[in-house]
Amino acid sequence: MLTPILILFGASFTILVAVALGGMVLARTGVRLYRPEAIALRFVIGAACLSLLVFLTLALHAAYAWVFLLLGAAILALAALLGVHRNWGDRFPPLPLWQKALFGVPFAVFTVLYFFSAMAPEMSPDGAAYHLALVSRYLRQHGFAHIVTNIYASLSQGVEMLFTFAFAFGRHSAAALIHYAFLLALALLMLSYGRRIGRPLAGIAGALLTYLSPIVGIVASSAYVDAAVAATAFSLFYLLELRSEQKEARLLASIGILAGFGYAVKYTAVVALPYALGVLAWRERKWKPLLMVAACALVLIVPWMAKDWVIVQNPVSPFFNQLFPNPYVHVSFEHEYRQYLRTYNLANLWTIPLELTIRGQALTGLLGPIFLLAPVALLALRSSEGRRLLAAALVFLVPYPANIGARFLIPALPFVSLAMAMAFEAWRPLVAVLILADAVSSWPSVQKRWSPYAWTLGRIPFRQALRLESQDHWFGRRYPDYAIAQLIEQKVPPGAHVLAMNGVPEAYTRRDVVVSYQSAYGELMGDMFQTGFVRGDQPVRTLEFRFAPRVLRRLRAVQTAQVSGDEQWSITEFRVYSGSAELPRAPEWRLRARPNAWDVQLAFDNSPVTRWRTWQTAAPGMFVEVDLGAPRTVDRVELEGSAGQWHTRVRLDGMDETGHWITLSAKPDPLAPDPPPGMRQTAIREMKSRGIDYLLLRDGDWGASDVAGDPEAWDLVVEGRANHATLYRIASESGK
Amino acid sequence: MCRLLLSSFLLVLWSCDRPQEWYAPPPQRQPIRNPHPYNVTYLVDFGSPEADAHILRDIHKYDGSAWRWTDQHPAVRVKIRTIESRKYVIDYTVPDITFKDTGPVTISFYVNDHLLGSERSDKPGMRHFEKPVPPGWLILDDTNTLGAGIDKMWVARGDGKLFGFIISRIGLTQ
Repeated sequence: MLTPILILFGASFTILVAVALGGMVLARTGVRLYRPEAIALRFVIGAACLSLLVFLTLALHAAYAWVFLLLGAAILALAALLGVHRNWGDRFPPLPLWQKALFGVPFAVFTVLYFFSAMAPEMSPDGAAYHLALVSRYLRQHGFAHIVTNIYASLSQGVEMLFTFAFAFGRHSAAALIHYAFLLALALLMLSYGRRIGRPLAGIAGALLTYLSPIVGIVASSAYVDAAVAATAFSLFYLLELRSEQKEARLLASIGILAGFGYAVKYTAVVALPYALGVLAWRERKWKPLLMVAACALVLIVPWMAKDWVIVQNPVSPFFNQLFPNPYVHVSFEHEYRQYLRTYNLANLWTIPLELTIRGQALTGLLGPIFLLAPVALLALRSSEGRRLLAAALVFLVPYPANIGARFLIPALPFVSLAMAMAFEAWRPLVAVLILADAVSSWPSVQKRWSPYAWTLGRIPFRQALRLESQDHWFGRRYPDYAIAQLIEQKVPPGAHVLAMNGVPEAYTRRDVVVSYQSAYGELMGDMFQTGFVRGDQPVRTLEFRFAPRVLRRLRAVQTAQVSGDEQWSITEFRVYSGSAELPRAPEWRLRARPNAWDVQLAFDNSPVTRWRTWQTAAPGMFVEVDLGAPRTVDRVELEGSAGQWHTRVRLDGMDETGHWITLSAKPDPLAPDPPPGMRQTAIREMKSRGIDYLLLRDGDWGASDVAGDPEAWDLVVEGRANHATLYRIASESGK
Repeated sequence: MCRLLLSSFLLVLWSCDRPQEWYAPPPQRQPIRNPHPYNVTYLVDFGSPEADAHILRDIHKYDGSAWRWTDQHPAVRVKIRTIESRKYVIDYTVPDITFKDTGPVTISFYVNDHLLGSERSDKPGMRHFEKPVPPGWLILDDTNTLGAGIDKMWVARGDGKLFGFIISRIGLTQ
């Protein structure tokens, strides 16, 4: 019975501390709020402040449960001393009974579903794979870990900071409840907005349209961050409306905090800052308010940029790697990642509306069929409130084309929902019918009938939330990947590293898992693994440059072709010859390359399974260069490489004794040697020497069958199997 | 405030190292002496065209898909280097289309004609079966036959052809 108590304590303590912090901030503004507004805004603004405090705690490596307990207690005590708890604002005029029922019944029913789903053991894909995995790791290390093998660790993590605070007491489910609290705050604010502008029915309908949406429900009940983005965006809109209404209120700092918190929660919400600045500039036409808002926003934005700059040399990692070249994320990965997120492999983008509203599978979520009516929101343009809502919706839709997943519409959904509700509110019976139909069709068991493959909630997990059914038992029935995490936990000793080709629920293991596509290091390890069994990746293509003997100081292989598509240039070995003998790589040699200078040694290590790669489309001017340390007579250079470089063209330049560069050959002879024997063992040994101790392969992974067919040929030993995946240990003699 | 923020940010930027440009040659790797040869494929993945070389009977040829229709008694042949701790594994699917007509089916699994086990499918869908193989049933460094058999065949409505089930992987693992 202790677990549910700890979960509820972790979540409620975090929420209380956030509300107290927000109360202290808002108390100084002099803004006049109604009670539900005060509760919701205090929570969201306080969450931003608490997030920053937790960031500082992690930066100082002081993230202990007792530190959070003391910090929270101090904040609560200070708030009590300042009397923040005494003034919660006025009550709204009461709603008619039918409106109370219209809102209250579906809201209450779905609240039970969402609350218990959030409190049940967390098994959302991203929540278990990284949101909470990172939180768990930070708490184990009591601060930010120097993580360069996981792109998700480089994203801003404003809400994960709150998760960290809650996780310290109530672990995974406490974090999910924090996220759900953002949805509650959002619904409360949307309802309040309608009442504040004198259109309560629009507030009721708008709040419910968002609240009942299946994707909103499952995301908010999981340790994700999208509902927090929506709550932050809507709170920001709300404060800007209040600022316009109550000129005397000192709201600029709060507006700045929320504008900055948007970025801190999720990169895509960076639009919150230009939105706030744009609205203020439009309405007030003064510089000072803009500077104030920008300065406060930067307080929440800069820490995340600085963290990334220090750890991965790119303030906006994992994006813009061409602008901020770094050894941690490949340009090719970013390119493919962006490409995928723009299309989700949809053959026809015109199907997006149907995917989002009816089908729900391709874009990993379902807004609900009611949003097929979204175009009626344009009718709201008739009122000034409607125009402002739609303008905000437009701003928060700006990032959507970069990622067309259903979740990425959640930030704009509250604005669209309210505008839709405004369009309908004149026909009261219609509003009631629509809400009822929306509630019924969004209920999981009904929704599964018309959209069986969408990612949505299941039955209300009362027993699981209260831990009357143990987490292990529940996961055994419902979450087979948990067994993989447990296998890793049991078989892999602390400090060892596992390479996996696909993600695993890292939130449930304390071991270090390197997922091959999540970092440059992971891709490098994956490349070596693949070179073990894919002949085309092995050194089966040599470019031989022969020329009259010359005394040279440097040699440079230069790419001359502008290649289209994703074709890369790579060099497995760069060999220099004098007569019939290869010049040994002497200590005085110096090597460089562009791009990816940090990988240049891979072309000079005498290993057939490592290669320098451009990790982006090959382009003229890319080069690999060797300084021989002293003038040497050279008459041949061989560039060993993999197949598949059909359109690349390489020229060999040399620097003579006088420092002049000359072209030695632009027409190499292509040779097709056989790769050396034992490539599989060589690959595994190389991976071992670079820190990989275990390999996790799901049955469907590329190469899984090759390894399973003959593990001994790979120097691998089977450690165990779980959910169609095999964990292999690299035999101890490998890598030595 | 702004000045403080700006100077802190610049300080952070300034404190970061520029990436190194020149690198020394790394330690030289030596080729592996007497590497283990990759013996044989004893896990047949039907996503690969090479899988056809292992088919003994009743499995349809490669058509670009990882899922192959079988007839009644599909079988493959594999060679193994060791006979200890081997498990028979098979990934197969009883498709909706056949299940509608045949109803529940039972599939039996064989190693060198020894019956290893059987599984009844009460609903359509993907299935995975694995079971340790007694070492005495296996032949070292020689051809071993791994098979399966379905009790009810499905008759295609158009041309009356007979189909068993869909197989995606079969073999021996450790």
